[in-house]
Amino acid sequence: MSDDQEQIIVPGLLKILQELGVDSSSGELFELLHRAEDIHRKHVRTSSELSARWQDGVIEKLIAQGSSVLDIGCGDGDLLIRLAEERQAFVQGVELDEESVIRCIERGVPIYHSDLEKGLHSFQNDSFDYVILQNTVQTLHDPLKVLREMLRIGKKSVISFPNFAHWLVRLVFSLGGRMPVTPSLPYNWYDTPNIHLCSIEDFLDWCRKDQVHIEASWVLVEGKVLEYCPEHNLTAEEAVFLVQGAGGRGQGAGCRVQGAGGRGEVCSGGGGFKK
Amino acid sequence: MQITSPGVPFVLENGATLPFVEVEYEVYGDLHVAQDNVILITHALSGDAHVAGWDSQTRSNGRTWRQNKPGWWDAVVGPGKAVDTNRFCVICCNVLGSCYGTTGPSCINPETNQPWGLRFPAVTVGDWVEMEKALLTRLGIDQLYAVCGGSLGGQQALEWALRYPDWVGKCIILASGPKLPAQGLGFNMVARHAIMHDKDFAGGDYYDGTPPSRGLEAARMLGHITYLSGKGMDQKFGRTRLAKPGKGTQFGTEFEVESYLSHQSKSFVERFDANSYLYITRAMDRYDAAQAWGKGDLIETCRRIKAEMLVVSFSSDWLYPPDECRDFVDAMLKAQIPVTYVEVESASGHDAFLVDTVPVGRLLRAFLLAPSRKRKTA
Repeated sequence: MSDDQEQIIVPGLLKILQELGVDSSSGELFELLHRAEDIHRKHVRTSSELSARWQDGVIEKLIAQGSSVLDIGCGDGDLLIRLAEERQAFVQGVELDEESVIRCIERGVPIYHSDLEKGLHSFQNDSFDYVILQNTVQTLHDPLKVLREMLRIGKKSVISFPNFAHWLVRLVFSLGGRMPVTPSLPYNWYDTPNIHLCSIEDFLDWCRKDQVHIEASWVLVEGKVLEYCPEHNLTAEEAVFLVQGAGGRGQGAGCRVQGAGGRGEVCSGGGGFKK
Repeated sequence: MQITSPGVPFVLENGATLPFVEVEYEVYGDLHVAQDNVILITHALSGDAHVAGWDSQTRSNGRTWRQNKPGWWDAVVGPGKAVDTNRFCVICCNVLGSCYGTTGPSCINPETNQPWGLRFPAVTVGDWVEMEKALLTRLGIDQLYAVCGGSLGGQQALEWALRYPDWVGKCIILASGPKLPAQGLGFNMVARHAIMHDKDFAGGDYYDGTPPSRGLEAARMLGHITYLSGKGMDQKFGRTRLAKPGKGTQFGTEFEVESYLSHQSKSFVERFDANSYLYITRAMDRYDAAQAWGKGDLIETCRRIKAEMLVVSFSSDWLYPPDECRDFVDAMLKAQIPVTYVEVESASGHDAFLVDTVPVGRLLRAFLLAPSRKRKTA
């Protein structure tokens, strides 16, 4: 960061912080900015390899032996193959990208070449044990339509997405004044497929509103997989939710966490979702 | 090969019998001892058993048109090709009612010593599958690694998966589906009309005289247009005029597209029998998998399927447009049958399954070589 930028950003920021009643010296702020910059660079370098794989591990543990699984936007079919092999799952994918479709065919993954925003009416109600939408919801034109379709088709659904409220995203945007480019959001503003980004709490707001029941939730925090608690809206890079629609369970609307199956660490002060 | 024995006729779906059925077939590649590498390729309307390679016997069999080109799917089938005959044993049979060596209306009825003509019984896609099964059984084969066909051949591939689900490992259906939509029925009707109203048709008994070539030419020209697409024709011919237009009245051939269709139809009548055209198009019209296997319910029909399914549609196909193919795929998904469906972007129309050999070959190779995955049994 150049001196010019520091000059411009920091005095302005100091003023805002002072108005908010936060006591901070400009030296501390410089230090914080430099630290963020370093972490940011490191993260961007290690890039997104980690991200999809941690989710696959979490999802694999969720899926009962012999379940039927529909992965919409399944890419090359990595997750479905893992579930077929490790969980003896009966799998079906949906994917639009032609090269990915060929990869799926080569690997023996049944694949429906279709735009998932158009093609899901093909599937019957409750026809799969699980429907998975991995890191894709933020790219959809009409995310709610697809989410509701998932809840209709799957007895349970798994939804994962990058958390737009991660501190690094907040920092890059609020202090850097740039659209955030982070390991989970590795795109420039002009080439990003992400058009409907949300934070974890935004997603949970929707779940409450649509009476979507959260059965389990995991987040990636500094390389660790944890059960979600509200503090993680600041620290989690990505989140995975196992959900069920209002129609799919007998009683009780509203959100609460059920047992997350003893995986990951429970964060101190964790608990149910508030509201 | 003869698939009937003395006193044991071939019984057709409609109850009629054929005392004698000869099937012409070709085999490419070696059969494994375990018989686990057989791919049955099923041909379309004007196809034959000669799927690949060059025919070395054109002098003796009189099929001189084969001197100019190899088998109809030569780009896809052969050693090292998408359907690799170094690995698979490919079998292709000419269908009942056709005119390329398998018994059809141009053959002699042994009971009358006359050509069958229109006295030949109506044949169905189901009859073709039975004929193919009878042939395979005589060859000592009782399972298919895959069955693969486009258009009318796709109807046969589907019928195999429905009729003998335990035989078929993988089923590949290109530019086809469980029924021909109304537009296709209309085209086929006009084609038959042209043939049957040719003054030489003679109720189908033209074998001793002049065949109804003009009718068959018209049928073929119409058919050919339906196998292409508007965009494809614009790309191939546009409105280009011939350097030397036809002589005579102002209504002779003037545009390239006219010359092309005229040439195609003239070469077609040299190699195809008008009665076979009637019988085969009728079988195509009548095929209705849902009616046959699910009392009209396609989802119920699809529950029979045990094969791994690949369905491919082509964006500019009029006869089996992608929406039609998608309806079929949707029915399989609703029946909880795992399926692979691909829509190939193409300007080649219905013919894309024959001529877009690069994308088609890529899909076939990927699907044929893929490991089999378990699937849910209801």
